[in-house]
Parts: sequence; C-alpha cells; structure tokens
Amino acid sequence: MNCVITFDSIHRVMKAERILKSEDVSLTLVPTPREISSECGMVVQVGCEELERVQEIFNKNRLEIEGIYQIDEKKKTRKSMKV
Amino acid sequence: MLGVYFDNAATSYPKPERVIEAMRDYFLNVGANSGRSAYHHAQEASRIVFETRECVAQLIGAKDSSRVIFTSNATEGLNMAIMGILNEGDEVVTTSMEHNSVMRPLRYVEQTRSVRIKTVQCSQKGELDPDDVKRNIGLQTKLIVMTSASNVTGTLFPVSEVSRMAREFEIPMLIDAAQTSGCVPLDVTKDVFDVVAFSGHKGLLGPQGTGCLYIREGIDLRPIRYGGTGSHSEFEFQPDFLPDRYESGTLNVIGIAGLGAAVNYLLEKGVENVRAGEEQLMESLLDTISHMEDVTVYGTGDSRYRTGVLSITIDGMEPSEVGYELDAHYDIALRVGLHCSPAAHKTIGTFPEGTIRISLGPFNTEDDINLLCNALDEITVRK
Ligand SMILES: Cc1ncc(COP(=O)(O)O)c(C=O)c1O
Repeated sequence: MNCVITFDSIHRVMKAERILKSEDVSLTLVPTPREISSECGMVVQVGCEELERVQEIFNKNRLEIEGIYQIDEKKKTRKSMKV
Repeated sequence: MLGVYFDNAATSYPKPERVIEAMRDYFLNVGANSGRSAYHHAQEASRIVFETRECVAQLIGAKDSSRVIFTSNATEGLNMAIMGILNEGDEVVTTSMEHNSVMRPLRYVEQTRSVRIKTVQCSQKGELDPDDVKRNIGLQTKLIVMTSASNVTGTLFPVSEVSRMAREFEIPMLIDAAQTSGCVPLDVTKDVFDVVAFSGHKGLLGPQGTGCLYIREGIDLRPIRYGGTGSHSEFEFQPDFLPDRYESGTLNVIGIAGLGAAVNYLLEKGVENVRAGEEQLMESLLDTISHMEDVTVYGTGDSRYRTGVLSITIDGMEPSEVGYELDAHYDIALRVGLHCSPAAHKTIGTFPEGTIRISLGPFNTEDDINLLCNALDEITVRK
C-alpha cells in the first residue's frame, strides 16, 4: 500500500525528495490526488511500511509536513484518508 | 571572445564553462516551468530551482534555503526590501556612496510616502565611519540601507559592525551586496544579517537576469508583486510562506540553471580563494598604477580594505576618451563615467565627469594587468 505525504510548497517537496534520496528511501513524486487538499500540486509517495522511518527522517531534518494520507487502491476511485 | 575584460563590476565575463552547459541542457532537455506541475520535465525544473537555492544558501551561510528569494537582479531585491519595509513618515538611514538602485527607490518613497532620508557622509576616499550611522539613527528610523562595497571606489564597508549596531537599536538593515557576493566571503548566519540583496550575474558568475534576496527569519516584507505561485492555487490571496510569497510569476528557470552551475563552481573554488586572487591582482595593479604620472587613484590604497574595483582619472583627459582609446586600440573593455552612482562620485569629488573604472574578476590574470598598464602608459604619453 502506498502513502502520500503533502507539504505546503514545492520547495519543501523538493527538500523532502533530496533528504529521502540521501537516506536511500525509495519515493516517487506524484501529482496531488484529487481527494486530498494540499497547498501544492505535487506530493511525495512512499510505501506505507516506510512511513514511520520517513517521519523520523523528516523530524530529524526539521522538515514540516502538511498531511499524510493512505491511498486505497482496492476501490476503483483512488480514495485517500488522512492518517 | 572579448579581448581583455575589466568590467566585472557591471557583469562578470567570461562565465565558467559549466554555466553555459547547464543552460544548454535545460533548454534542450527540460524546458518546463518550475513549481507548477508534476510531470517529470516540470519536476526536473523544480529540482533545478531547488538545487540552485540550496547552493546559494550554502554560499552565503543561510541555514534555511527557503529564505533565499530569486529575483531578476540586485535592483529588484533592493526595491522589494525598500518598498516592503518603509511606510508613510518613516525615516531611513543610508550612506553617501550608494548606487542608484538604492537611491532611486529611496527617492521614490520619499516622494510618495514622505519617507525621510538621512544620508551619512562618507570620507573622500569613500570610507564610512560606523559612529556616523549611529548619530543619524532616530526614533522614526525603520531601516538602514548600506552597500557592502562601493562600485566606484571598491571600498569595503563595515557591514558587520553596522549590523550589530542596527540590532541594538532593533532596526532592520538592508545590505546591497552587489559588489561583494562571490568575491568576498559572506556568512549571513554568523553576522545575523537581516536582508541582503545581490546579483547573480556579477561575482556569482551566473547569467544576466538572475539575482537573489536573502531575508532572515523573523523579517517580513510586504510583497511588491502578487500573483500565481503554483501553490495554494485555490486561494486568491498571496501565500505567506517562503519562497512563494515573493516569487509570483514564472521564474527565470534557464537563468537559475546557469546560476546553480556558477555557484557550484564557486563552492568548489572557494570564495576565499577568489578573494585572495583578486587581492593579489589588485596589489599589482595598485603598485604600477599609483606610480604612473598624471594618474589619480581613488579610494583606499590598501588592497585588504577594497574589492577588485578601482577608479582612476588621468589628468587632462576625459574618462570617456580613455575608455574609447582602450577599446579601439587595445581591445580592453572597462566602464567609464558615473557607474549609476552620482552620490558616490560627488563624495569622492569626481562628479559629473566620473572616472575610469577597472573591475577585476576571477578570470583576470597578471598578463591582463600588464596589458592594461602598458596601454595606459602609451595613452598618457600620447595625449
Ligand atoms: C553597488 C551596486 N548595487 C546595485 C547594483 C545593481 O545590480 P543589478 O544590475 O544586478 O540590478 C550594482 C550594479 O549594477 C551595484 O554596483
């Protein structure tokens, strides 16, 4: 299952990408799913099993997160819920 | 390729090879806008902008790169800070050595917002006594604006000292670092600088159309430009987070790509090494030129207290004449006249004719200095 993490600006998305890459966490940048409200059009997608580690990394780097959502892939429409 | 280039204070030339490569690569392989979309070309554009911001932050010692705002030049940043801080009836303290990119926005707010300008008189060598700044600070003083080095005399200004003083009085300080960024080490965190404007196309060695404004956390400027940022798009109000708050409209991504490569080059080379090289060249230049007959040298004679900018005049010759001769017969490029700084020329006594300005860059050599000195020798003999 995938989780997405939202940030309030592209700057922070880019920072998140850089930090996660340097910690060897695999991620993709995807357009913000329609069901999610975010201040910016791109979000960071990671495997949900990585979430705890990812949050730790962001905390350590003092990178502020806007929200975290789980992507429900079973349903046809991609449903997201705030974790 | 230009012959010998001594106009680095206007814009630096040549640029490191990698600047050209980065710009070419952007146009060939990326092309998209930054901060707007998530398709992979757009992601790459956003990445370029982010990486450049991080590099600039590292170069100036800023801890949080979101406090580095991209502008089109130093002038835009200076306008943003002056217009964004000063209100009706405020007072501003500045110096008698400022560039028109400071003086004109100040004159504008003087006319439109009744801002009172207090100008600290500098010495004939273009030197500022920090105590004179203190003496001009009043209850209504809401901003101190000062250059980090004169673009006319090359004199370095005591910005760290004045900044400490400004902090004591709790007055924000705006530094025009157009003439020192990339040439003289800068650490905005150590010095707790408030707002610093600089060009990307001078000492930073990036392309024209680039500049930066650093804004310390805790300082808020009223934006002078409002519009789309790609973020917060469902709202019609300007975002309050940085850098978006100050970067409405499409960014100069190709320029920023070039700037990133340029700053990378500087980080590898080390600004302190650029500084050492220019100091040494300036010493040779001063050594020869100050012994030349009929040549008057302005500013301090000590290369430790100046940048790679030197103003001279030649008795009995107009600066423009000398500039023309150097260009036409020796293929030496430099700038003559007032250098957009009438106040500075009044201070050093060279208004309205101006001076001949030699401004060094990291790619100048001792050979260039010799060519210039020989040319000046011949010109003065011939006159
Ligand atoms: C001291 C000083 N301030 C400001 C500027 C303006 O810089 P820019 O041309 O990048 O706007 C210059 C150079 O032109 C300068 O020498």
